[in-house]
Amino acid sequence: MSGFVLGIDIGADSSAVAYYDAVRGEAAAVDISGGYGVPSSPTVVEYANGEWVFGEYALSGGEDGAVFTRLPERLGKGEYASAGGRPTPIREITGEYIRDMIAFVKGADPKAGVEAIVAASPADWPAAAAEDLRAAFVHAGYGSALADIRDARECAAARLLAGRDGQPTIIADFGAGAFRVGLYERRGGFVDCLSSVSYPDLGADALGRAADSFVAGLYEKSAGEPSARDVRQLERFCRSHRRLLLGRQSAKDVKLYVSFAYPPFAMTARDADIRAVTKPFAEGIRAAVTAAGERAAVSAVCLMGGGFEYPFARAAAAKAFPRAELICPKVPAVALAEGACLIAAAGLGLAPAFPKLRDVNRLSRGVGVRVRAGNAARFFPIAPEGAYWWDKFPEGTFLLTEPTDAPPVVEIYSGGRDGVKLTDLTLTGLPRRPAGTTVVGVSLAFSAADTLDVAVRDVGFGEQFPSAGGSARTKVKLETI
Amino acid sequence: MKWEDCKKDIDRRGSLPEDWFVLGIDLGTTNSVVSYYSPSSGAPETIDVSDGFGKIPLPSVVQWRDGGEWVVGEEAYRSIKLYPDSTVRSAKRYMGTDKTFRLGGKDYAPEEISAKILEELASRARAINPKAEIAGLVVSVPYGFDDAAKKATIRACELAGLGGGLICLIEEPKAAALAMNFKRELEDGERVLVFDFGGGTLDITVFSVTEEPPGLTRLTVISEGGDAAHGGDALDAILTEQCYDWIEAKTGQTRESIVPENRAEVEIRAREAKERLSGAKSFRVPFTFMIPPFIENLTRERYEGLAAAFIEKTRQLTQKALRGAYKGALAPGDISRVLLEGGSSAAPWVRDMLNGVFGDESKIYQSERPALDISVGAAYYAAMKMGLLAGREFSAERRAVAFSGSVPHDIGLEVTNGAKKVFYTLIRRGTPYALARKDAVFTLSGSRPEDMTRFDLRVLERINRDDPVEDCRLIGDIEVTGLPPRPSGGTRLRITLSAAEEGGVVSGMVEDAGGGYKRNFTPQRGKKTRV
Repeated sequence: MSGFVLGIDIGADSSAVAYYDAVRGEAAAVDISGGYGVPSSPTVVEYANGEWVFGEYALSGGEDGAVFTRLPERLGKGEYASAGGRPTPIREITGEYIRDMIAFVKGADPKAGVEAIVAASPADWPAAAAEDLRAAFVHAGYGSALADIRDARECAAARLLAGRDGQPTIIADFGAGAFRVGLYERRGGFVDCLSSVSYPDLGADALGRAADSFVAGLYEKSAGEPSARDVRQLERFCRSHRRLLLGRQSAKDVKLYVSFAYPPFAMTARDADIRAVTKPFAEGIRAAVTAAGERAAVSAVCLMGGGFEYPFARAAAAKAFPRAELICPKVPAVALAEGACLIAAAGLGLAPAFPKLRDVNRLSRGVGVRVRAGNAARFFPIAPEGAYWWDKFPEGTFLLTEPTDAPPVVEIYSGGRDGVKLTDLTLTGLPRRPAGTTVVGVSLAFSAADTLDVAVRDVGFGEQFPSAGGSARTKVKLETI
Repeated sequence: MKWEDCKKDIDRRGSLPEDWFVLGIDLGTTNSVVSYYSPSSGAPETIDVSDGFGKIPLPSVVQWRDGGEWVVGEEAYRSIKLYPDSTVRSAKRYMGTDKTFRLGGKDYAPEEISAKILEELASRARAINPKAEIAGLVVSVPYGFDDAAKKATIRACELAGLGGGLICLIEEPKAAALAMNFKRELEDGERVLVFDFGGGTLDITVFSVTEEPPGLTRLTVISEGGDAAHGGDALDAILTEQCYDWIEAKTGQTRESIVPENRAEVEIRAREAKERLSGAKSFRVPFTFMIPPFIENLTRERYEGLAAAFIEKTRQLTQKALRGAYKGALAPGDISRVLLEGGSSAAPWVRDMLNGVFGDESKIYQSERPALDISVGAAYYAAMKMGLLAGREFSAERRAVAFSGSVPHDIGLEVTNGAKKVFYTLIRRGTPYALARKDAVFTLSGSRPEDMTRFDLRVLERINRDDPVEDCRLIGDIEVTGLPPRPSGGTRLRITLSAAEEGGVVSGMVEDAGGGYKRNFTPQRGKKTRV
């Protein structure tokens, strides 16, 4: 192998790149921080004075550059941003960032090319976003090297589930945008995703904002409202001290030195106050992890994502299943890039092939109502194909064209034209109404992966035909979803 | 206990005892890093001492506060402005010199300051496994460190309470080459130039790679150069001067009239500008702490113009390292790879300059973890010395590595030749450590009886080949006493000097060629050793 085999994770907050170390047979993250010794770098791009600046350098940039953040969330939306007065597609800015990341890797062996790249993408990423990411790689000059864009959960499983066949394992990803937690099991040549839930309010960004607000409050107590001159400095100060507060190793007060102020001063963040900032997140993490595995014999809890560099978050996750093994990579922030790298290496036959992810909890076909109109029948999905069974589905409402001489029957189907009837539900107790004046509401909810709760109710039709309150419900046992 | 005994003990037990720590420390001028050998992964792991600041290395900053509190590392760095007069940075630059730092009314030697950093690093390592003892420790030193600086480093380890285990030194380029070998195999016949450009020093070392016998990678130092006082700190100083010029032009204040906390801030801004210009072509340096506040734009071009003399000297040092190879000058084409190490090597001009010297961009390799390699290499070395790498299951890796290091500077004696004092070379630079034990016989003469029973010996180190005796560095003064009384010219003394393979520390022996009298000595700078 003459070239690098890479895994790249472009995160909303920070990014990482790993290469396949053929000597050791493992993925190794590269220090792309510019000498800080850490293998991840902020996903921040600045355009100033006619040049692109990346990562930490962009974060510490001057006052007048255009700064671009949260790039992956902005892909696929046709968004442009002004870089030096020129409207520039976000995919191009992302491409500049990718080129810089790969340049770091190539510095380690300037004679080597790039053989293959797998990029991790968030689960349920829109196709347009993935297309934009491909375009970004093309812009960076690595379009042909990009072998695949893979679901982040698959990358995580590749990194964390090796050798865990038949053991239900929780993977918790404490990323910037959301806290994601799922239950996985390797079996029969697949990695089954048994559950997967996302909690945006528990993301590391939300935690960071809470910490920033706390530090800004401390500043105001000591020095009053920051002057216009100090506002940006205070923002930077808060951001650069997030890790200090949240990543402390022991329960003690933390001193903060406000060097940008004149005169400079020190302020103390008390242990109890820091705990108050982290407490809702600790409780939320514990509850989310517990919920993910409450019906399974969880053998291990694997942690990844930058948020798990904070000890309180690791401790909270560990409390959910105290008897389960806790697996936390040394640098949780780079686990996705490492997993993507292993998938790339497996694709080239360098590393053991990794089983594909199978979403056993996604609906393989939509579930909904079949409505007859004359001789024709039309299928209206309520729980759409691809949705997770635990998702909440809005109630579907249907206008019945037949008079209610006989109690209306609602037919629940799985799938459209070649669908399978799951059940009939008869709505009794309706008063007689003319044709076209009866609206029924149909609600679908899965109380378990194999149990569908179906409810039908009389919605009524305007003031003249109000709901009579009739309803019916049933449970359907499914062989497969 | 010696390293060899540890190795036997480990062999007997079959594995590294759980309560033994094997550490590698990069005691740097600007930042320090500690790694430990992890038996489970069979490789060194770097310990994150960042305190959540997102940078793994520990800033080599020591601060004294009222009440006797010592603060080391990131917190000390962040609070420089609050304690400008009691914060010490870059103490390593003064190791082995008479420089002292006055803190809390007391003078501290550089090794005492370094000891605080080592204490901090060791405490972070112990936090991983509080029951473990540090059984073996390898500390890196620049290749160009003189004997006094090396001995001061060992003294710092002892002051830090690390003397209970085994301590040895490794030259930083050796550590870097070792880390690289384990990460990416070096090939037989290659010549690798390690360009280790840190905060305080520039080390340029050329290794020749041979595989003899098959399976054993031998790294032989065939040239070394650089300058122990040519590092990134000097660039900070250049930019700091520029900042003062700006301040004077904008506010009329001179360096002397600025309060100490703002002087500390000027230094921080200068360093920030230097770092930023590694990734950007210009940086607006904010002087918002001055009255009136102002911002100055500094371009990379202007910065490189300010540092032109420094950059030119770096180029000359690189060329000198090639020319001064032990067995005849090397041409740029003789070098297969140039490995960039050290935080200062991230500056774009370094790569440009080396491209100019070697004329081939594809030869310039940047480590995947430039900030951590030296400490990782030091931990590998400690593991090698304990025999922990032999027989590992990573069959694809070349685990058998041997070094053939050489003495970096001439080592000898000050002797009187008529009325003139001259440097008498005993061990020439480039002598392999395995052969670095040389002697010479001198005839003792004098007009007084005591001239024949005692004499003073001055052990020196000549850094540059052409330095006169006055410019040589003192390794130590030895007072030799108790010689048998004989007539003038009747006593012939054999004086032997040797440099240890591990770190090159110098020791010696005085022997009466007529028999009977034999004394060993270890010269110490700053105090006369009596034997």
